[in-house]
Amino acid sequence: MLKFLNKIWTKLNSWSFLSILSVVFVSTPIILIGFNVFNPTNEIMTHIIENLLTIYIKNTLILSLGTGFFTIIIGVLLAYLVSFFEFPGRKFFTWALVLPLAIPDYIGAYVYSNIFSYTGYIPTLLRNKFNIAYNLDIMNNYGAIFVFTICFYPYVYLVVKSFLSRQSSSLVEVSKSLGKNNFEIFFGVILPISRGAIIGGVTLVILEVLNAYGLPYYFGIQTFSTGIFRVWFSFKDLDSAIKMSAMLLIFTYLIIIGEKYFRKNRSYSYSNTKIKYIKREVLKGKFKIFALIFISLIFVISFIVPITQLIYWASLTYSTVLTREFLMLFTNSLTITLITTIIILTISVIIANSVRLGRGKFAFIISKLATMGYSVPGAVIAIGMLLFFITLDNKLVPIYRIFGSENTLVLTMSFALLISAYVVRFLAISFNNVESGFDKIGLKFHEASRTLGNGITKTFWKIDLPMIKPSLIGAGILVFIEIIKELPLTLILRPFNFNTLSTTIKQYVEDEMLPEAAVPSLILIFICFVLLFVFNKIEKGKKI
Amino acid sequence: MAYLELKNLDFSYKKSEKILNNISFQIEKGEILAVLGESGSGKSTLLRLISGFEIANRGCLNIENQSIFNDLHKIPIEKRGIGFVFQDYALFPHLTVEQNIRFGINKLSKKEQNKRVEELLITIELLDYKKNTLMNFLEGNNKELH
Repeated sequence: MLKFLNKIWTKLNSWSFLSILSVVFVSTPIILIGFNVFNPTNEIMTHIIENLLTIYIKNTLILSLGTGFFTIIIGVLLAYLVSFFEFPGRKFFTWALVLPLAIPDYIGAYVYSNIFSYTGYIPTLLRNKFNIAYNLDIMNNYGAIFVFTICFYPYVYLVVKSFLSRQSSSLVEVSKSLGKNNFEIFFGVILPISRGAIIGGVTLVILEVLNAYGLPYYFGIQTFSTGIFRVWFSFKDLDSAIKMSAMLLIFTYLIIIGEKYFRKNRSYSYSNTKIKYIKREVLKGKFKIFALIFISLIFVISFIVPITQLIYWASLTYSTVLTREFLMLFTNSLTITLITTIIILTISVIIANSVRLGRGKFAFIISKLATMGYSVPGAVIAIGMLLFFITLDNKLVPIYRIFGSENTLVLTMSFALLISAYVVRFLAISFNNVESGFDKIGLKFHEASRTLGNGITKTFWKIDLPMIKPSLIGAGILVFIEIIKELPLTLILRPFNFNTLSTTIKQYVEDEMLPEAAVPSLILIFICFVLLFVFNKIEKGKKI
Repeated sequence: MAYLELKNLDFSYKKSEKILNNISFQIEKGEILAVLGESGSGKSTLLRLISGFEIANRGCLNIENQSIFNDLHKIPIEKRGIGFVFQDYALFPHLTVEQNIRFGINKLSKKEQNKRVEELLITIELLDYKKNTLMNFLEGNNKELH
């Protein structure tokens, strides 16, 4: 026993100690939900189980499966076209098709619901020009699937495109020599080998759907996320919120287990390291026209239409919206996003460095615990965090009294709660990027520096940090985009009277002031657009 | 008294698979030792254990009669004063040629460092490239080679 403890002790250093501390902090809220789930069931929960649970499950399933299905079709086809064929505008579309990621689903929801509403652009055009009285109501499950699909298909597109870009041209060449046409190659070769990547991409999509709150709320669709919100905002019933969070958590983990199961034995590798990458075939005739129409249509529907509508609305309302107060909330958004991004980067660097130096099973567990937050829906993290902070505050009351504070919820009512929740939710994005940066440089530079007399920390500042800088910047950009767009966590956990761009958009939409919501929406999209552009440059290894 | 003494060293990555089993040997100062063995037999692992990159399951290492590691304690890599030449190069690509040399002798006085850097750069005929980062230097050389 003494020997075992001593072995652990010799492996411990300030980095591993800090990393364990961070992981405990990150995983506690989720574990707390597990501990409190068996508290006695109250009347509200009984009512939910008897009357609403089936609706929550049904709607959540319809939205997840429907969106998953359509994002696969669109994402895979787009990835296939830009990876295997040459056509006019291919380079532009390869990058442009990612842009819908800059549009949060709740903005897509209010733009499209308005476009199709009675006073919207399309019904008005049909009425006035063609005398057709047609009113398409998209504020239902089908409409939600449509908006989710156009907002989230880039996840499948990106993962599959990245997978296909690493494949060998011999796949196509051999198939062609055996007399197969492109159609047969797509269904017989490309689709089967891409199964793992498709499942990976669509899992991300489903996790986003489970996390979404703004869209289902605006469309009046009752899902687990909106249910948790209702229980908390209307009844302040933490026990029922915990129980619902636990159910959603189980649902989420079933998805993840499903992903692991379906991806098992689905990875392929080449025995030869010299791979001749895919040579794109020039598209001609009707295939070229089909590809161009299909890709342009997706791009127009998912990006150009919402942006054009927002620009039009913004031109009508910018003078009333852009006030000193607005500048304040814009600064709020940027400040809290920047502070949280720096905190997340710091924690992920500490954990990733400690994991790579520690290696072994323990390091593996640490890395898994650090990344568990991303798969957990925002509403669940919010409830877990509330529970954690309220428990913490209860323990700290005597200290608050010493300082003469009457408030017993000092931490719960501070920014610490919101920032901590962001950390739990988005640490995985940053950690994965930083970890891949460390993987790329390997251990030899670190080890060389250590043998030259430098400790872990000095080596980190002098060698590791400068070498992982591109990955760190990339991680920072991705985290920044996610936080500034985030809605569910911010709504539940923000301190009183604190607004961000996303909560302001939701407020305007709730007050039926759609044109006014366009200005913060456009600013938000513009920030994400610029950051995605920079990220793309970094990924390509170009100097900016 | 041996300069370097290794006693009863055991090491394994997995419990079921022992890489090194009860290794013991001594080396005198100035003596050169060559370790021969098949690929995967644990030669590099042995060197990594001596340097401190891996932790032994059992056994101890003494240098000049001072304990470097045993079952109860371990001196950190950077304090062992053991040099290690890596199989593939491990020059720092973000530092200049001059900074790369300086990095290993930063415990010396500035004056001494300058002298040593100058001497080495002349010896390896890279004085003109001392301000180039290694990344640029290697890229340039690769182009010349092509």
